[in-house]
Amino acid sequence: MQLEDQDILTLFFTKGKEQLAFGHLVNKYQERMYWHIRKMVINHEDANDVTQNTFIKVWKGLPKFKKESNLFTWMYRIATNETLNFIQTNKRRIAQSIEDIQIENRKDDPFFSGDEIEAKLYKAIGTLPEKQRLVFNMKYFQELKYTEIVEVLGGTVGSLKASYHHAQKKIEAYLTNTD
Amino acid sequence: MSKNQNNMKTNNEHIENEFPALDKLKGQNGFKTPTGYFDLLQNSIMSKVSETAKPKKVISFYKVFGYAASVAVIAGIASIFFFGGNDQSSIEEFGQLTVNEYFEDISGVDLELDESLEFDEMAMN
Repeated sequence: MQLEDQDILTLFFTKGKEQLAFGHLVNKYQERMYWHIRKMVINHEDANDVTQNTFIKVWKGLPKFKKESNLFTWMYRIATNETLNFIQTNKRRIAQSIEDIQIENRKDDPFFSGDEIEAKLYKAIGTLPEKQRLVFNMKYFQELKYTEIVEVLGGTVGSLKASYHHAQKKIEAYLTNTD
Repeated sequence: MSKNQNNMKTNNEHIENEFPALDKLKGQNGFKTPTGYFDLLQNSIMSKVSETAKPKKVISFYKVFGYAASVAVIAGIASIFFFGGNDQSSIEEFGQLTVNEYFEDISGVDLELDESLEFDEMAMN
């Protein structure tokens, strides 16, 4: 059974129920957080570390969480910041992870089962600047609304739409032109 | 179908077909995780949370400042009553003091009653 965010928060702010509430929160959002992070850092082990750090930060930050805010976008913001920090300090590693996605002989890769065109897609996404990559991932894979993405990344709906459109153009060109 | 609706349909089709390769891949996820990974992830997160125990409650500066100000005001009022009350009681008790206690009280010097008596006797002789 998945509780509503408001119910999780009410439970969390009930004395002695913090861990129970947090368990519900992790259960509800861990997969979404993981995939949000994984699509950025590519490597599973890195995504695992960043996801765990994200939830520890969520745990530490929850007591000062303002109940009128959106819990889901607040968590996304933490996950995004953690991911960007990780990328900043591990640029070479991320580049290598993107390089490691095999377009051919993918059966050798224990963490990738997509077909050739899908492997190309991830390589294409890897060529985007970080912010554009985030916008693209959040819209294309996670199908978030622009208003939700604004809450996480800032900016305006108009600028995000433009960013997403540019990203789509670049990726489409990569997919159709690269051999 | 009206002309407007036709135009809208054409526009939508144009938008949908603008990125055909991307549209085709929509909803696919080629990345894999180890079997049962998310059960392990939850356990791992919860055990780390247990280690950090209860999240620290954050007390705002303004709250602390408010408490400190209240304590200062209460202490101030209490000191007025305490010291003011002491002065009053010393006047009331003045008549009950012995001479020696009185001198001790005003000068802080510990006078020996016997010595002062001896001094009085010498003066009388």
